[in-house]
Amino acid sequence: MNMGLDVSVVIPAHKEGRMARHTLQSAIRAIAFAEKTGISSEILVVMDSADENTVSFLDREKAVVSHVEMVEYRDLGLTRNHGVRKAHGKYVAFLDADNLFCESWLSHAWHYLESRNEDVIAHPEYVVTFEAASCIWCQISSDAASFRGADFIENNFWDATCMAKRSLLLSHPYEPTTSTRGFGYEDWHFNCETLAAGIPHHVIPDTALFLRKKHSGSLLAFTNETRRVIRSSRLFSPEIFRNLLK
Amino acid sequence: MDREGRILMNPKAAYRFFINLLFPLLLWMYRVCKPVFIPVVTRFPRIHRFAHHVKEAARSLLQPGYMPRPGEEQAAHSAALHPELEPPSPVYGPAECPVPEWLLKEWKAMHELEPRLFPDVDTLNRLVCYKVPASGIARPYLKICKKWDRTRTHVFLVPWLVTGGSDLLTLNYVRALSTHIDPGRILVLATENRKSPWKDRLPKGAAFLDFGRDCADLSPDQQETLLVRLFLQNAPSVIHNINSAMGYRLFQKYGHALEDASRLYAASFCGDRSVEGRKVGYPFRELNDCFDRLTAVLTDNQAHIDELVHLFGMEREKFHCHYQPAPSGVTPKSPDTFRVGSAAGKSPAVRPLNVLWAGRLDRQKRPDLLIRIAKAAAGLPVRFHAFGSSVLEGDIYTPEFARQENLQYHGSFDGLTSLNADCFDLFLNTSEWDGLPNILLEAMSMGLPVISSDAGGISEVAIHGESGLLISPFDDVDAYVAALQRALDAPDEFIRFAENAARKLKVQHSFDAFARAVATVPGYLNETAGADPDIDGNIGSDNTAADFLDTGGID
Repeated sequence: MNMGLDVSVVIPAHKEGRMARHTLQSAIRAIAFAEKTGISSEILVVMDSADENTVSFLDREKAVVSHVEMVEYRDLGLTRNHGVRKAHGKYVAFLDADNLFCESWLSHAWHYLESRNEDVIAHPEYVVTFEAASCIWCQISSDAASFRGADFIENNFWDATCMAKRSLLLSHPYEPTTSTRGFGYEDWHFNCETLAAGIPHHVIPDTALFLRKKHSGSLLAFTNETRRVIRSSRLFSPEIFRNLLK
Repeated sequence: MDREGRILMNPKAAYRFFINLLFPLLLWMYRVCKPVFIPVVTRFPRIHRFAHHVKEAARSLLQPGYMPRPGEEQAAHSAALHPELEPPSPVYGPAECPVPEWLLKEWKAMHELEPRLFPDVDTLNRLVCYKVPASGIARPYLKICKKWDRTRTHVFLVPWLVTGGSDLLTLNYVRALSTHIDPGRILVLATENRKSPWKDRLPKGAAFLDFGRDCADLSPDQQETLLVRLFLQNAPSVIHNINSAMGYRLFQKYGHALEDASRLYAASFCGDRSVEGRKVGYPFRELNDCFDRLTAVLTDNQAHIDELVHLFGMEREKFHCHYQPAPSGVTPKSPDTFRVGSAAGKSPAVRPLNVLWAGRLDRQKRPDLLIRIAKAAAGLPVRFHAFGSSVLEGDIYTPEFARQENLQYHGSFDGLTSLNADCFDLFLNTSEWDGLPNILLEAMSMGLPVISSDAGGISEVAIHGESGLLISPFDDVDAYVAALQRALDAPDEFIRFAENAARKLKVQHSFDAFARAVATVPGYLNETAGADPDIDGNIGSDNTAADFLDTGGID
């Protein structure tokens, strides 16, 4: 499957329509920057039950998108899994179709991950939200002194935007959430499970994600309104959780 | 001018300065008062919730506002007025999370891709620093995990275990279950902050978790979050809620998630009515709200099933009527003692008809009817003996009891079977609404014939003219007096009622019959967790993927 590509940017799309233009542009910009350091990349869009506007928009953008996959999972995590299976890169970088990542993200993250001997999941250092809320979130690594892993029981520590080896993502797939009735927060659960498996999560210095907070109709709002919770996780088994509290 | 001087000259900065002083002061006062108030506030969930909201509101009002650092505002103004001048390296963003230079540059560059993105002064001033909040439930979670592990496959959610009808019912279910599975697999979890003296009556091996008291310092929302996590992690095969308000809240809010790992059951016996006559209580709201998540509803009378099916169109097949076991080991009243002997143990001659009335002195049981019946029966050789105390409402009845010559009030009692049956001739029940009250089973097991209002499921054990006399409507005082007259005139008929009732109890209300019935509830004894798969395969129903389609995408 690996066709010698370094990074596959997997973009799950749903109802973003032309909003995905900004996302694609940011991905193209980051790919161009990464190319200067010899990193080859592709863009793979996975459209999950996408609406007409989104299908039509991406049809117009096919020149810049390497592959488009059409699926009907109705589930963000399963859509990402599909993207991982279809990706050609050694690494996969996720980007939701309404967000933007900074120019240096792909390059910095790739170089960092390549320099590590063990499996690591990379996250941008800063998350800046815009539109409905202006917020800045400085993410921290799982081995930072200020990291309190036990707080995972109530809150997520890292946004879904991350980069990791494709092989790692294949062996730690996302669990279904929106296609179930009671579960949500697929990224939170993924972070818990990978952390429980001993995979460190590191933030990459001088990188950022610009995350759109919608005024209404977001998946997060839907998840909160319908009282969804994260699935059972190995991270909360007393044997592991005890160590997080120390 | 020094910094303080500048602040005092500027009203806006002075206000911020004042708020920044006020907030730590109030926070200090709050921390001093906290140990005193917490035990009081947490005892009452509604007060706790109110206090929590007040705290959050105060925090959002009083927390320190964004305070520009020296030179920052000036620099921004200069930059606006003289764009050719480079501002002297200001630091933007919240103090606890300043925006670095490289991010500002990148942010501005992003503006070319998405015009909504631009780090102007307004945006930076409004920028809030997000930090992952410290969890209040992490330590309690680990503490409870030491007491509750995955070997507990059957969890009962109860408010508490005190001396009450539903508490006895809980014990009955635990005992019945213990005849089918290892009691070591059973956990009884009390959700309210109240002592549970009856926990000692649980079968050996069954565990008791005083969750409400152990987690009294947590807010109701935190308690819910913690309990849901414990259920999801431990994945018991059965969660059986018996009148726990928190249990119903969990079923209502998180039932979809819980049913993925566990089968959910609820017990329901009888609704309640407000002073104005409105139907209130779990059966009419909470049970209905979570009914579709439940594998079965277990009740102790058929009338309650009929009422709910009629009101809400619920599937009758989901209901299981389990007649509760009557008390065992009770020495029944000898038929020879009907109106013979003395309640006070004095004279062996024929005595007045001693009528026993016992129960909560609350509206539902209608002690006022007892007073009216006593007044109407003043000319008859009948003496009324009232036992009980008010539980839900204030005591307004005992002063009236004292005014009635043929009525003696004896105070509260510890189960009807603790009384000497030979001192009484019949049992009188005047409930306006009811399920199948345990006190009736106790009276029958004591060999007392019964005169009762025809409320709820009472007629399922006290069959009119066979094993008791039923009065309808419940407040027909003349009918009660006529029934007492009938007892005076035809005592043999009432002795026969008592004998028939005893036979009925033996067949319908034995522990063995109850334990057998419990075993027939679908999935109740199974160890394997998880709800049955949706036979229609309809994943699009009820807040699932279909709703995902309506969201505008992902964030």
